[in-house]
Amino acid sequence: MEHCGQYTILGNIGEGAHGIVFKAKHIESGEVVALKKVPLRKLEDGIPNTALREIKALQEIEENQNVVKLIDVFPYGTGFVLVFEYMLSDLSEVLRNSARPLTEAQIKSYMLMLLKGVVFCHENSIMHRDLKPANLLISSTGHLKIADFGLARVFCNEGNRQYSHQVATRWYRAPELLYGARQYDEGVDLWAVGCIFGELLNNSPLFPGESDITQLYCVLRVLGTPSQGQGMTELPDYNKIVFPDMPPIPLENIVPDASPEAVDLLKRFLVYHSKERISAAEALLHPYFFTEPLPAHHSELPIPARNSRKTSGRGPLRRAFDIDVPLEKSLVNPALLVHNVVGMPNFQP
Amino acid sequence: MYHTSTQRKHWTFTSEHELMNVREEVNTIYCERFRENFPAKKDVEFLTVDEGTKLIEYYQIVLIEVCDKFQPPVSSAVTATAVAYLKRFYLKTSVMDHPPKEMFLVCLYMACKVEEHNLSVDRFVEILPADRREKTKDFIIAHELLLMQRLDFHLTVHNPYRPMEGFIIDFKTRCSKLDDPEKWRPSAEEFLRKALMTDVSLLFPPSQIALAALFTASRGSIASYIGANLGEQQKHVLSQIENIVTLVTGQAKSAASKEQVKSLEQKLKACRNPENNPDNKLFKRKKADREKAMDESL
Repeated sequence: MEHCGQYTILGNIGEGAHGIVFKAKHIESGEVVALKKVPLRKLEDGIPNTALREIKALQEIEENQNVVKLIDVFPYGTGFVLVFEYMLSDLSEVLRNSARPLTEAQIKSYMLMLLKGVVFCHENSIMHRDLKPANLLISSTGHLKIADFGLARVFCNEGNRQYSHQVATRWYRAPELLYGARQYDEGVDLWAVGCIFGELLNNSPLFPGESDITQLYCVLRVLGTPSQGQGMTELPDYNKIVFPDMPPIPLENIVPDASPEAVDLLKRFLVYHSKERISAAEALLHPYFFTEPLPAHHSELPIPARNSRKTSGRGPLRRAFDIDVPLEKSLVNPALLVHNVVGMPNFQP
Repeated sequence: MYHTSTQRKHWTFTSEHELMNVREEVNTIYCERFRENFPAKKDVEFLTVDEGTKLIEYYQIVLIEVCDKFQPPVSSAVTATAVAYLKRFYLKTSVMDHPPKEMFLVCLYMACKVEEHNLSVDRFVEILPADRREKTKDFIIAHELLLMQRLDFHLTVHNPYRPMEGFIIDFKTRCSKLDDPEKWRPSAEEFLRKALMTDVSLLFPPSQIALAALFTASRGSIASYIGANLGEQQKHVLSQIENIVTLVTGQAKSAASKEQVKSLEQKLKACRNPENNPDNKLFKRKKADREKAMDESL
């Protein structure tokens, strides 16, 4: 078995732009962790900024329920290794694998955890800048934690997924970034939260642009052509791309199944002017979270098993009631149960 | 947030005495290990803690001067972070293990990255004479990880510049009738520059250093502001400020002269760790071994 510092490597979890992620076990304590190896060979400018940013951000913040924990950093070979708590899955996988759409209560629960994590980052002056479902890890208890601070996404277990994820990042990119803004603020995270929220509501991405241009088109088609004073027209690339004038489409039509409170909250994230987007802390107080159905408990959230797709259909999902099956097939023949029934004297099969 | 920072938890010491102990320990450990590893060189004369400190102080000044040469200029935060790295590095490492003459540019390069003053290593070494660029570049890239490791991967440095801006804004809002804080700026900045040459950043929180700078620059007129806004804390803060001012302006500790540095570096040649000397064959052999091991592990 391969060793890495004080850890035994258990397997490969995924590969990102900056290195490989392993599942490993701390030899002494038996704790299971994720090791992110950052190799430094042949790097033109030495240690990449993205790696430094991630270490910088995670070293300074205290523990938070909704932010993945950096347990340790140690040098290894030509590079170094970041040790994180091990997480079973991520939100993109949950969205892909769940046999039926998430319930409103489940969506609320994910949004609550996401926003709590974002509040924590923003309070600590950290802009994540790359929020997307694949960077929202899901623990074995169903908890959501924000990961990948500055490093390209890493957790994926299907070889061909990587490229599409390069694209995925674009889907959550705020319009000011698409227009080439050099200066921006934590509003970019709030835009991404809005996109993730829309994706949870619709079970499909809100703005699935295939290039930077079509990405802008996707956004403009829904929000309408930005007018003066919305912070877009002054941006460096604004005049490089001209689209025909488009009126905004009411968000109610974009997320047709969502409740009025959900639509209202979504509207407050998806605003051109970054300063006018609802802050994460404020969003936590939105009526959406206080109207029925209330956010689900974490035990009611799906927990897909990693690397064992066979099992993804087990549990309550398979037993779901299917309305197309004839009634008699859905019922259990009482005769089969009679031997197990005790203390029902008048029961006649 | 400074309060939860690694700086407060790991890099703020209680007294000059504690710092002295740390430095003495680093020195002792180095000497013991050297004697063990190189028994043949038993007559070597080691640098004392004071001599080592003199060298570090000298390269702090060199570092600050190099920072002034950058075009576009680097922010004060880059300079201060680089100096902080240099100070922290030598609380874990002896100058004889990795001489400051070699390490200060590694500190500066890392500080540029961390403070987001982004420039490629090729652009970075352009501040050096052309014949030294290639070698220095290789050295920097090869020693970044060592630096990070000795810093315990604690990269964030809280400098006094931001709190100072905060105090200036606050003063303008609350006490605009008293004085105009803008006119204190030049001498407050001068104070902070001097403070870089001392250990205050290892002893006090950045906000107090910022207050001490404004206190000195305003010739004490900020005392009423402190009194009005810090309530019960004011006594403690004022005494802290006094301590900082004493450390920064009090002792007229003269910097080592060029001749002194030259003779110290001469002495260093004999007692430095040959394994870390890029011009030594032991270094070359160690490097080759390491690279071979790495290739095999990949």
